[in-house]
Amino acid sequence: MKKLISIALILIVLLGSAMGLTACKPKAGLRQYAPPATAVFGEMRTISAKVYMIGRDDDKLKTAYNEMISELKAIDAEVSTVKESSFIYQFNHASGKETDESYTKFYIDEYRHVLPLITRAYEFYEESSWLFNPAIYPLMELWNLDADSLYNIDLGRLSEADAVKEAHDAISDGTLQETLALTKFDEVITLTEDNGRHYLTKLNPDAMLDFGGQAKGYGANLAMAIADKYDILIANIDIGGNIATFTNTELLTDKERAEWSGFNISVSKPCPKIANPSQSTETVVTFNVQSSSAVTSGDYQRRFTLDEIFYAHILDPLTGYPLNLIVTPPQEDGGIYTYSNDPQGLTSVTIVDPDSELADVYAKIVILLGMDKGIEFLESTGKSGILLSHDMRYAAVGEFDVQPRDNSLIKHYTAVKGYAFAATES
Amino acid sequence: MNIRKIATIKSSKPVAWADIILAAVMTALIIMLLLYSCSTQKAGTSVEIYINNSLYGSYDLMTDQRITVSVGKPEDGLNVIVVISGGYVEVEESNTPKRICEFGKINKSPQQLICLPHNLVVMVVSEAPPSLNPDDIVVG
Repeated sequence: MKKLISIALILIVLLGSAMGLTACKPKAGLRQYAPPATAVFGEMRTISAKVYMIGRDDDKLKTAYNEMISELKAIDAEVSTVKESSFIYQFNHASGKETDESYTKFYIDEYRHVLPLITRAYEFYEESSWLFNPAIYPLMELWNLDADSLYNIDLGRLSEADAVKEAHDAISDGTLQETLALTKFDEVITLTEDNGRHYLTKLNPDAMLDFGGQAKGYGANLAMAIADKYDILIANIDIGGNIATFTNTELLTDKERAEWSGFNISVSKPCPKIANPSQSTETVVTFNVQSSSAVTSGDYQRRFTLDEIFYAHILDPLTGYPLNLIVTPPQEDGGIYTYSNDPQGLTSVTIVDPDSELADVYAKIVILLGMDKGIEFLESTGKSGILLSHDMRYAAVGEFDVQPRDNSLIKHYTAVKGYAFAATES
Repeated sequence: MNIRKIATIKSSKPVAWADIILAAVMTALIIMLLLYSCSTQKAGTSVEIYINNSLYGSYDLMTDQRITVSVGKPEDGLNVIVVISGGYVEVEESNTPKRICEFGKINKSPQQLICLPHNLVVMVVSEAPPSLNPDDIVVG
């Protein structure tokens, strides 16, 4: 009897140990990884990346996340305009004359991200008839929209009013026109190849580069490729408002595929959020994506205001003026420049495309083009976007899986003929 | 061996009913304990630090880091060092006058470490179970 009890106890202990080893282990089902947002771009004013992933393997989720953040930081280390060790900082601040033709020639193949960024920048520049221009940094400085100036404004060392007044002076005294000459991208900066080696050359000592208009989208593309590499099932990354999503449907089970409804992305109501924080979560329209990217450009955030005129942070490379700013020269001798805002200009453009870098850039191009030309541009390139104007018109160009919400504000807008959402046309 | 003893063993039943009942009860007890343990303590994903029930900060449990938590009046310079390492969190040191802290490493939700007299609570929290219907994303 005693022997039997002993044997039974040993069996129970063994059974318990075996269960203990297995019962609390992660189940082979879905695992979620959504760490807190991490600063990836910038130094004084940082841009964070927020990642959300679902996979089956904790190690792969963590490794994918670490690689994403590491890659984004590597991009910043090469293209930051404020970090002295970055390639772009050194390029922008180099002014030594080396030859008769060029001021400074940089070998760029040692940087992983500069060549792909600059190559596409030239493509976007041509494609947009110069509306996308990574060489407008001197203009950004003139309008106090560069990182240093914005930081000083954040700290109260420079007022928004003074920032705008300095730009007004530059318009009046002709400095802005002189600065515009420095920003003709293909005339002041050239990319050349010599025996398979790539060089970036400054043809003007004051020429400067800034990849701020495409780096977030470029980084989002890399992040989603990393998600794919590590068999992540579902992922999204938000880099300072640039959204990219990824779904690996092949790795989902039939049941999961049936359950997975994709990401619902809502476009927020264009309104200055600082002035009216209660409206910041109001959305205009919602659409659904599986693997795509959505990037919005708007004139309602990060803008200066003086005498009830707003000055957007997006600059028109052709005029040197902020988006939707109308500058009227003096009508008579001794007169002054007057400023107003375009009441029909676009206030928000969201581009939806699997290529986040393209979405990033196209959002800026289309908002500068305005409603009619913007629609034309998207039609000609076969891309999709949602355009909202100050005079409450909207256009949905391309195919959208629209899922209107009760709180949708799109009902306050009038569709441009032929560009209403299918769901609102019925 | 004594012949009578052998005969007794041979004539006894291999397993008595009492043995079976005892084994069954103990097995059930162990299973219940394991299930209870697994259902109430999920693997943590982040650490939340509270001072006087106010959230001081939230930190990723998977990212090794040292967090210096200021407690008391700023001029007093009192700190509690919370260390996250290898998926565990612990209170490493404290220069508070009364070093009353729970020491030890924790990694499961809802385990907590508490430091007095500033009512500092280090809590492991677990994300909600994965859902294939994530929250909506707002762009713009």
